[in-house]
Amino acid sequence: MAVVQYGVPTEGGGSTTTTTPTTIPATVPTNTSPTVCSQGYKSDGKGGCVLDDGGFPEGAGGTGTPGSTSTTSINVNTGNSGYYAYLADLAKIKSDQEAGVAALGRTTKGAQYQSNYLTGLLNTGVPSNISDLISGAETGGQKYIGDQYTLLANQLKGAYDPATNIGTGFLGGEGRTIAAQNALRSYLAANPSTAFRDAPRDTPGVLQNDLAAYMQAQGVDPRGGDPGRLAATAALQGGSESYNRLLDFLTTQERATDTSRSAEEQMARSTALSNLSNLYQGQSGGLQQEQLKALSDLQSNIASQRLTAEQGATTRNQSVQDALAALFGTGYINPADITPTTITGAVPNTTITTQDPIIQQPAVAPTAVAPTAAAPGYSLVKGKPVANLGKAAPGYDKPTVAELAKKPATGTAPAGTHWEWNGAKWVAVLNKK
Amino acid sequence: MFESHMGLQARRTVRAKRVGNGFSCYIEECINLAFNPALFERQRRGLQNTYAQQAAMNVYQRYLAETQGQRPITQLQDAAFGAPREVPRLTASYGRRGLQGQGVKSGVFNRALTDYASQRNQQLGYARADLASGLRGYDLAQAGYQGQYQQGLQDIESDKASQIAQDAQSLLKLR
Repeated sequence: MAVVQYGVPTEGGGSTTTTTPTTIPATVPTNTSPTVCSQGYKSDGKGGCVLDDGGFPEGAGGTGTPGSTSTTSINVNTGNSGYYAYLADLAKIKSDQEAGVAALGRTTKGAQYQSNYLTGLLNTGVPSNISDLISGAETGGQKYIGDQYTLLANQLKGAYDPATNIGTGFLGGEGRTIAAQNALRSYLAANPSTAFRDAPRDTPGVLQNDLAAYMQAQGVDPRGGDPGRLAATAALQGGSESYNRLLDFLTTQERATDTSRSAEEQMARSTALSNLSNLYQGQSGGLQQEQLKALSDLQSNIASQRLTAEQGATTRNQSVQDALAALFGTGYINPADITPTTITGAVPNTTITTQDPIIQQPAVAPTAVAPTAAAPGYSLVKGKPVANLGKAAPGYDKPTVAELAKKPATGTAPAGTHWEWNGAKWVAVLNKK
Repeated sequence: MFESHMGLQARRTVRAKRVGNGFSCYIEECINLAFNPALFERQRRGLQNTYAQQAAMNVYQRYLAETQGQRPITQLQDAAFGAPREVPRLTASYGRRGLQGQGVKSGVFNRALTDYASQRNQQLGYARADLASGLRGYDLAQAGYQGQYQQGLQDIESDKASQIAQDAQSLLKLR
């Protein structure tokens, strides 16, 4: 039997004894928070702290009173389980309180950070990188469409070199058409129709009475041969004049043909150039419509992208609001204490990594705390309650061969009972009816 | 299959074009048949050959006609004092009957010689008129051939200009 001062536990309950007396203060100075007392003490409800005995029954294991020296007797050979349980409870309470305080601090601080961060995200709208990307796509698309239109319009318009009569596009076609029409005009001017104009006109012949000299020599009047001569001369002259009139008529027709050809050339020139111009205008109009359609499609696409971005921003904002509301609901943060924090930086190239917080917990030595008693119908097996049933509770050990051998030697259960293994020992259990 | 065939036909109908020489072609073929001056030179050469052949034939026929038309004239001219000696015979026949001769004035002979001269002049005039009319026909034909040739050349030039204009439009349509 050794004498050990109350409050100083001994390890192992061996033969070593400690005799250092411990003075138990009657009251403990209050902390800054009247409701939080030092480890091992509890609030007395009056702003002070008193010794927290953890429900340890008074008088059990010792006779110490506050403000005095308590002395108890401990059998170091067999140990005093109640005392050690008390100490273990104290340590556990202390550890739990410290962990709780630390957890509360972390939670509160985390809530503060989280609320600050979330509030900073409120109403930030579409991220600038997204909006810049969309704006860039819009500007680039407009420039591309404009460049393509200019290129195609220039190709359509083309060019023409009068010196070589070579060209492309509308101007090339126009130049070649004009050159061809000019060549036709020059040819017609240099080569008018002259077939009937230059045809030799007929000169009416004059018949002579070649017998006139003979007739005169014979004393006959030569004029006697004139009737036939005049009739034939009239026929000759009439035919000649008709022929010449015919040539003149044909010459007139020839000139009319030339005039018609000149008009035809002018009309052909006008028609060809008009057709070319119409074609060019139509193609230019089509090109402009293609440009407008492309621009319209681009604007629709950009508007759709902006709408999607705005929807995303709205959804994200709503999520932030929901998160803030949930955070306020925890009570760890007061909305008035929020200082919005805006996170800036190059978003697209920034990789957001997460790191789990390292929680600094006080090192608490595991203490085996053995319950003092099991509830009725249960038995404590290795510190765990086990129902007094025939079978071991789930997760508990079945009886081993050695334990089976510990079955009561009587081999017969008391009347109305039977033996059952409760996971630790054989117990007598009432028989079921 | 049927619809595909009909669609192809429709496309061909739509795409059919007409070129200056009157042939129908598709756009692809029109591109290949774009302005080729050789075609017009061939037409010009054909015109020239045709005109030359017509002119040669006309000249030759005119020559034949002139030869044939000149023959009765010559015969009429020769009939008076040539081998037929119609005028001397006429005079002689009236001289044997004492109706013609030195110091004789006969109204019968005078009338006979006057009628002969008048008829001869008339026949000669008609023969010359027939010849001239025939030759004028050949001359008119010659002018007509030349007019056709000139009109043909002008048609070629017009077709050439029109072909160039249509080619320009076809090329522009391809853009």
